[in-house]
Amino acid sequence: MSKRLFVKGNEAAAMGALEAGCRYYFGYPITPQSDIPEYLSRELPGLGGEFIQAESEVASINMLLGASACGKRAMTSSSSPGISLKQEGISYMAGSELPGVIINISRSGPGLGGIDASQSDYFQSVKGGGHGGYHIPVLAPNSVQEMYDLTMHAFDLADLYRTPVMVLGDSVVGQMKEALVPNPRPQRELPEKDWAVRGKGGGEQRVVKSLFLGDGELEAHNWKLHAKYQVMKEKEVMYETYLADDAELLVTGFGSVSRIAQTAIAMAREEGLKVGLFRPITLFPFPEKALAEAGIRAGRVLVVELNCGQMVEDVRLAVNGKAEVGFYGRPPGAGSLPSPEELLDVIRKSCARI
Amino acid sequence: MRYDLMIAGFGGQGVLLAGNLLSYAAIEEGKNVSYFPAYGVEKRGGSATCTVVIADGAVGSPVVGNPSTLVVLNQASLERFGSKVRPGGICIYNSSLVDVSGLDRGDITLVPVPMNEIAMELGDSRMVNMVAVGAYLALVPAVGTASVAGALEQALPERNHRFIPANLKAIEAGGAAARQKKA
Repeated sequence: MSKRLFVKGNEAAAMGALEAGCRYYFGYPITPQSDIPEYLSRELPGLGGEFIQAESEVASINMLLGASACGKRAMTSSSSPGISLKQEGISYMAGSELPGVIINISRSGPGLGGIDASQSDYFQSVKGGGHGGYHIPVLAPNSVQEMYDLTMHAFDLADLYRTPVMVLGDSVVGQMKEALVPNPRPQRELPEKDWAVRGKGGGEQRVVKSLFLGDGELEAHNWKLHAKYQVMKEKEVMYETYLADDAELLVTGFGSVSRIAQTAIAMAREEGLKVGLFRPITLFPFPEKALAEAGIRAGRVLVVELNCGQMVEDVRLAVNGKAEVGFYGRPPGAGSLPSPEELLDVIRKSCARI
Repeated sequence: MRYDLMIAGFGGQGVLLAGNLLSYAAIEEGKNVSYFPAYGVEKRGGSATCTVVIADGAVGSPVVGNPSTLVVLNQASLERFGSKVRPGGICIYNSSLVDVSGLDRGDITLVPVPMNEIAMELGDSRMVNMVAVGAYLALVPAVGTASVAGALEQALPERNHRFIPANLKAIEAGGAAARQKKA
């Protein structure tokens, strides 16, 4: 086992990217994710890579598109307002089937909002974000270890499916420090990048584009992308459960709030309340089948989010009326993080109504 | 065992370094730990708090609503968090700057430590946070003092390693003051 380090979540994500073989980073600073570019600006030049602080978020996502089109593992990161600016580029990457990793350490909004923890970018992340009806895999870490592990995983998913992949965190998982075991990169068989552009004289011409004007060409392209999303739903769903088997109330939440919920559930169990946790790790593909099974078994689902209600819509679609769905959310902003004690109160009230 | 602690003060008092130091010591002892900072956009003068959870098993929530121990370095933090200490818990406060006469908490142990005075006697007011760490360790055995001494090397940037002996003295002095007040 490697030595345990003690690092910030943001640094862990940057370390995971390097371990995954990412050698190109393009970004523009914004709180609360600037530790990522800070770390990479220090490390990448020594590894023969490139770190570019671009003139804007729009420039940096297009640099990512360019590096990826050349077949290189590359990444950008930002926080909510900056991620909004990158949406055009993400849509172009999705349309051009280009791999790449985008980390969003989201902050509160709308607009410039504030720097505090928030999960109000759920819709933007999982429902496309940019134009054109695409999806990208979205991974939601809830610990420093997962910031590292899931960032590595994001690079593999990106290459396997030729798609941009988003890691969605907030200032809790980005700014907190925990123990980290810097695991070696998992060995996976990845497809050859036989589509990457190579410049003049590289043999047969290769074109990377998202413009399809021929008769039926764009429809076929969209069906191809759609089929890819179905394979992801079949193969790439990740989730975690805690005391869910005999639960009569199933609490569900992603990322930072799931950590708070887990402690609240442990407290509720001490009071004899049969409560469990279901934590989606992939937000797209959403673990709809597993969540429906666990939710219907419990009969009642309580969705907790650091927003006014977003993932709750996907939970309702998943259980499809076969379980009662309650919601507890906190709009983003300073002092808005619920404590385990507050969530315990919500759990007690939900249980009393059974 | 699971220990949770909130340290609060204003930016510049070294709140975050104090939390970091205890966390590094816990890592050194092979324990699990979460360190969660919260601070304003100001570099100095704003509020700064951090929550540290040290556990043999899983840490669980890095956010704690009712900490079992609160260490407050300034008045504003007492007013904000004093009511939140878990019943039966401990509040260690910097009696150089904090007046607790307005706090109605008969259900917790209040421990005054004149942190600024002690730090000034040692020759540097910036040692306030180390005095606070010493006071905490004297009352709560979350980590051993020996591990904290080792952890200073990791928590402090190398250019400040020359101050480690002075920091250790401040930790010792804080501990002595807290033990005396509690007895």
